Amino acid sequence: MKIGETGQDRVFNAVTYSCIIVACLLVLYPLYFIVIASLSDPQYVLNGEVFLWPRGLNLSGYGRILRYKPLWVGYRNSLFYAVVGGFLSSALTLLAAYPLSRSDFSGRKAFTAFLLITMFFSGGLIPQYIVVNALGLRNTYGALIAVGGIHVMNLFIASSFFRSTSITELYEACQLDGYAHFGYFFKILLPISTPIVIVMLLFYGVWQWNDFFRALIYLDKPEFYPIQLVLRDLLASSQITGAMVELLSEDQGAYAEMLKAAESMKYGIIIVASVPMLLLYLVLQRYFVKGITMGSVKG
Amino acid sequence: MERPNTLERIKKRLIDRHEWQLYLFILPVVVFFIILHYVPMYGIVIAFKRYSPSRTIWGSPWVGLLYFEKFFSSAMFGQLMWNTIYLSFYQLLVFFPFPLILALMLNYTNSKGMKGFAQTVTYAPHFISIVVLVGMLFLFGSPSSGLINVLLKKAGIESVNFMGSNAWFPHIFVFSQVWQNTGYQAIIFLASLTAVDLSLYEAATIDGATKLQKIFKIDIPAIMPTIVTMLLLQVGKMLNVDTQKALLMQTALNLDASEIFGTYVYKIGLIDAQFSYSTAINLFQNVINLALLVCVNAASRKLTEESLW
Repeated sequence: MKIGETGQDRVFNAVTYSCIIVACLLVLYPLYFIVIASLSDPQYVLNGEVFLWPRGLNLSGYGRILRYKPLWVGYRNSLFYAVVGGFLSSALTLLAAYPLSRSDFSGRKAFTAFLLITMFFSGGLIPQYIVVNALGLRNTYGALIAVGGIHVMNLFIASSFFRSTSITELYEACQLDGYAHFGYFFKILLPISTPIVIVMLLFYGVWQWNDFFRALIYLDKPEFYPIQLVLRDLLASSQITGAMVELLSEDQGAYAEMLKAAESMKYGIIIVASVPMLLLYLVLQRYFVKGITMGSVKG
Repeated sequence: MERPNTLERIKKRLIDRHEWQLYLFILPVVVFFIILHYVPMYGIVIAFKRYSPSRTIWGSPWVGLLYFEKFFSSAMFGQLMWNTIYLSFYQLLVFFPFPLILALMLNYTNSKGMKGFAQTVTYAPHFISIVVLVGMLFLFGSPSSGLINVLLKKAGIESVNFMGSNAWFPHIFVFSQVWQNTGYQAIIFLASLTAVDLSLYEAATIDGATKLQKIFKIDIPAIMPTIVTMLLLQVGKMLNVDTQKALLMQTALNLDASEIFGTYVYKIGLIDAQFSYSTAINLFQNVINLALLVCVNAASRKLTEESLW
């Protein structure tokens, strides 16, 4: 017992600890169930005989998923969108964040308002669609990289980071050397700001990987589909979709058999689609937390 | 002393103090926002015109408020309003407390390991895409083989078609949000809790305050600005309930509950290609949102002295 803890506090501790444990279990169990269900014999899963560990270990579902081409085209495309889109968006965001972080920038207020307005009011779906269409971006790799490519929130996060990292003496030294902002930003500020660079790459990358609505609107040729659009056809329905029939066509079984195989294969698809982002999160967790924390500091 | 004229002052700032470089830094983003955000704002005029892709926006004939009248007199108007506001309020009331409670509990956890573990676990679902999340809902809620119905059957209860039910739709929508984003939002509250002055806790401990009293007397007042800001942002998006998720969760059987502004704008606009009508509905939605935000912000400034701007 710690000094200063009253009896009431011990009750409090017991209650909070149990609540936290229950919360963790509620989050983990569905994820754990998906893992064991994906490894089990479909028959056991569908009969509700799988609860705590896999039964009748069966990896044929994974084999079939690995041979399903559209999923891998989506994988490749999403990797492209996440890496290239993430890089371009981060670069533009960081560049714009620097002037906004300087209190001696005469356009600071005007540009902040210019950006802030778009957070609360937009032209809407169709006007944006018309513009993107007119730019010839529909059904190109550029569509998902351009549309929604810069997040105002990220810009503000980056600029508040720069504000707290900036070193006035070094900036003045740069001024005297005639480098001014270019030299200061690229030679001094950016090299000591690696955390924010990583945070931006991660935020934009994960967002590109997980977003699906823009793809639904601007892409209708499968060769450009990101993984989420492929997944939608496979997962977001309790019916057998066209994509599922194709995926299962190696089996010449009856419809009921197909339905069963389809249901159980979804577990494997969820694993294959979600593991990269969850791993990225686990490895680089402190950057994600840092990013949110920076965003929540007002001003 | 002679006063320098405006032109010279500007020149001094831009050239001698190298401010032109700062403008160059921000230029790409400004161009980007003009093209992808501000030009579409001009496109709103098609809500007042009979636009079709074969004509230009400029060349389309004006129709005044025709599309607004059409929308207000259609049966969809009431249904969309009700569904969207209901879902929004439900989400606001139910989802909002969870992250706050989780953050306060984690803040009083003495064990560093447990706090870290719980944070890692609860934040993780945020990284699952919305498509996969809805896929999971369909899987777990499947009437024939879903885990939940299998358990219900074992308990002797008749199976429920969760994803094909108007009554279940709002609950599933909101509680899956709780599952996915409680940990994520809790981090924001935790961050503002770390800013609380530690001497306040010490003083309270000496005075014999219990942890519960500390929460209500120290923590909640300290993070009030964060709470209010986040509530304001939520209210300002009242008619912007997550369209992606609603669209994905839609089935023919839950359409009466799941059709909201966002999904309807998408369908009318891109599936039925009624560009002007869709834009009119969208504009109505945006204007209401903006009005709500301004009102709530003003009210909040009066009552709590917290505001977004």
